[in-house]
Amino acid sequence: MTKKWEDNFDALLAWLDPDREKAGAKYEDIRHSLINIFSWHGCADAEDLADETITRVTNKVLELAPTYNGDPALYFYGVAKKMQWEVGRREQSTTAVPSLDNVKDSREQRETVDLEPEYECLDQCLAQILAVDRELILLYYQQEQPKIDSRKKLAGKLGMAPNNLRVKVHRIRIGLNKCVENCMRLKNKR
Amino acid sequence: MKEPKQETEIRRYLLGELSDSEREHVEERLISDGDYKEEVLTVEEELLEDYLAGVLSPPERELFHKNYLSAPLQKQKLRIAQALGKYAAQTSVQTLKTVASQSWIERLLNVLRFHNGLMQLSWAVLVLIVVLAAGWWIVKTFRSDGNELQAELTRLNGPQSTVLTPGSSVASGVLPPLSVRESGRSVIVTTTTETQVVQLRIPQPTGQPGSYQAVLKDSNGREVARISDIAIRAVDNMPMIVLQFPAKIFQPGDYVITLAQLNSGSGGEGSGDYSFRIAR
Repeated sequence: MTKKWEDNFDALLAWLDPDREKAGAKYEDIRHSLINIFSWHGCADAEDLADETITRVTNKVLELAPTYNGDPALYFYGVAKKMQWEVGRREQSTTAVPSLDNVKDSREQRETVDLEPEYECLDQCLAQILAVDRELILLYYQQEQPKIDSRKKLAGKLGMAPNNLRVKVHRIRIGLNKCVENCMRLKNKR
Repeated sequence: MKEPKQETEIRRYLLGELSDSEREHVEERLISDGDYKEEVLTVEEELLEDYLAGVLSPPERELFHKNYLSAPLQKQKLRIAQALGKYAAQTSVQTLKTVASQSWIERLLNVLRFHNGLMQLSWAVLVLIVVLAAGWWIVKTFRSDGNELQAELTRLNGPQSTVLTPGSSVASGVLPPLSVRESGRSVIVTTTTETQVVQLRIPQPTGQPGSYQAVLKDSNGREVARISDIAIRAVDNMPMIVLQFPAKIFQPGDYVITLAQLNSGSGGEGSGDYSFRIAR
């Protein structure tokens, strides 16, 4: 990494927040948002596109930061939109997507997909979280259909408002998903 | 707070149903608003669940396949959601009571988890402060109890004190020395709920002047009280050493008073052990 890049990156963090730790967290949050946005647009290399977006902003930050007004995150989004136009509209994945002619019900599809690697990673990652969080998330996903009613009852039994339970489970899922994704990345490297 | 209209818009965004301007509105909001981003990710999880449960409508399912599943990252999210559903179905979970009752404990433990060095240091300092405060409180409590007793003993036996008259609030007994007592028979001093002072009178026939010290011990040999600078008093025209104790320090049982004359080489007249029993 060149000195110029380091200086620019320091300037980028300072632009995001005077507190370096908070700036780091904001940087990660913006990067994560960009990856999701590119992916929801159908881009196969969402991570690379997000990093390219950040590189472009970093290269311009020294001239940009002194005069820019507003949330820096929106500037990143503006650059990402330009990148989106350069890349083109929705990319087709290299893996074939099952057509509805072959799959009548998503439940049938589920049985033919090999989930062993994800299952193993999930097992490892669930073992790392707090026991009460593990039990909560498993209880939440065990609920019978219709899930809305079942989960309302579950929330009532736990003494929580349904939306609070929903948010709590989602937050547990964030950590769990990150752990499983890292685990899968390591498995795929082997 | 969950807003149905917002949730519907996010769902349509994920399924690729929004116009370009509507999509930009969602994306600008999610990159700059942390709460909104959390809502988008939560709705995405629920969309995956609905797909796996087979409850999407046919048009939604088509859009899901055509738009949502068009990128590898979404495929991976779907696989993880599938694996989680399978895992949950195959795992028995403890009762809800355990989950509910442990949640505040776990929450507390989570708060106290040592995430960084500063937290560890803060926690160590807090524990040290609590230990020191507890130790100070214990010492203070014991000292104050001891000080209180000493003050009471001084009030009852000091130079300005008076010999109390035996009665309902003063239980009194005369203690001959052990050497002249009939063996096997202790002097019994009977107390009641009204008794506030136990008075022990030790005759001093020769009336030798001097200062005495009395140490009261229980049947285990544990010192209960100590009175110093005791002078002989004339009670009913008889020289006596009079010892007055707060009744509350006594339990029913055997006690011994060890009397010693101060600044005397060996025990003077009247020095010695005097046993008695407190009865109720």
